[in-house]
Amino acid sequence: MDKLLNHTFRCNACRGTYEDQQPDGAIYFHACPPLPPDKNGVTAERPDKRDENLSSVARQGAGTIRSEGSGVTCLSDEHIAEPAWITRMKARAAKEEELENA
Amino acid sequence: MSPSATANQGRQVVLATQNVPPPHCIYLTQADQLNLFVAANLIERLRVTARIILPDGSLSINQWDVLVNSGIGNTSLFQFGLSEGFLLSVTVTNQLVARRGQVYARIQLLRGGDFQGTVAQILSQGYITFYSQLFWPDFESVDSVSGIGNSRSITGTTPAAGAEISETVATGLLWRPQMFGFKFTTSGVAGNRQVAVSIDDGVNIFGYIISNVNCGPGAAFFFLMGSGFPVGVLYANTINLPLPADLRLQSGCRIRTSTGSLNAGDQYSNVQYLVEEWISF
Repeated sequence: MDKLLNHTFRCNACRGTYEDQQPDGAIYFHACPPLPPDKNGVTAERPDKRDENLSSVARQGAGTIRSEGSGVTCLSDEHIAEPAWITRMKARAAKEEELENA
Repeated sequence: MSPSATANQGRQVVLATQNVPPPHCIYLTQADQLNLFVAANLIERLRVTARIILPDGSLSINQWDVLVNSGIGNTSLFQFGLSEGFLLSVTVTNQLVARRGQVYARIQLLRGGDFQGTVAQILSQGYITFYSQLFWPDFESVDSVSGIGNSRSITGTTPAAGAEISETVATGLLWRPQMFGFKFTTSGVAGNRQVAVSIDDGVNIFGYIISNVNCGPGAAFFFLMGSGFPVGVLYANTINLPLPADLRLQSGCRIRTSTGSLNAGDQYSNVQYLVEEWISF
């Protein structure tokens, strides 16, 4: 299988760290954990939650991630803004939109 | 011993050698298209081969290579034009090293000029690996969530200090968690922490697994979860927790920790788990 160069990212919302690609080549989809429970024991999602899971797989072509949140910081290469597969997916979506509007 | 009654009687079956009808009765016109639907969670190259008897009696072998380049679990459609004739066979093979559970494909005939055409006939559907291809005729139709899935070892997110672990089943997948391991390092702040693991549907918790071992300050604990594991200390600070047997989690479900008296300096790390995974629509 084709492998991308994997990088380590830190989520700017939850401060968790993760690698964008697993050793087997599969992509890792980060999603922030909920906030710690309040004094009443109620757990809520972060308002700036990042969720890299795809919004849907039911359509042909490029998808979108569920929520950008506060973005990510690449810890292994400061020139990289986000996981490569997301950049690629956005480029593909932009191209499809351009074709649709043409 | 008398000779067998069937011996030396010559050929009983006479085979036609001219104007022989094709063995499979799918007649194609130029309005028919071969359509390949693929759902894959890795980048994969596929080759589609169709053998067609043309009206002049010659055999045409058509081959198309496609790159499933999303690699993120969403679906791809490819369409191939056909010439008039009788379809003899279709195969879909992979060029790389997908394992069962990673590349699910359906090959079908469409009537009409674009992707919105009418599905005339599904020829074959199932997972493709290097050793297991799609083929027609004599195909079998395999659902994407049947049989053995792909065993995947996944390294999860290391949460920030004072935050919980939370791992989500990705979109378009079905997981059967088999093992789930993590490390919990407590800060020096006094007090016992109680580790629990919850399983939810993305919102509502439907499963709680609570450790009966309190985690004191200034120490590291290793938690291992597995089907059939008893609750308790395995060795030193290595603690077992059970996972429900044959638990199937659809996309959006989460496995996460829920820690009683979690301190801001406590740190979860080394999140590693094994799941059996299927593509699920």
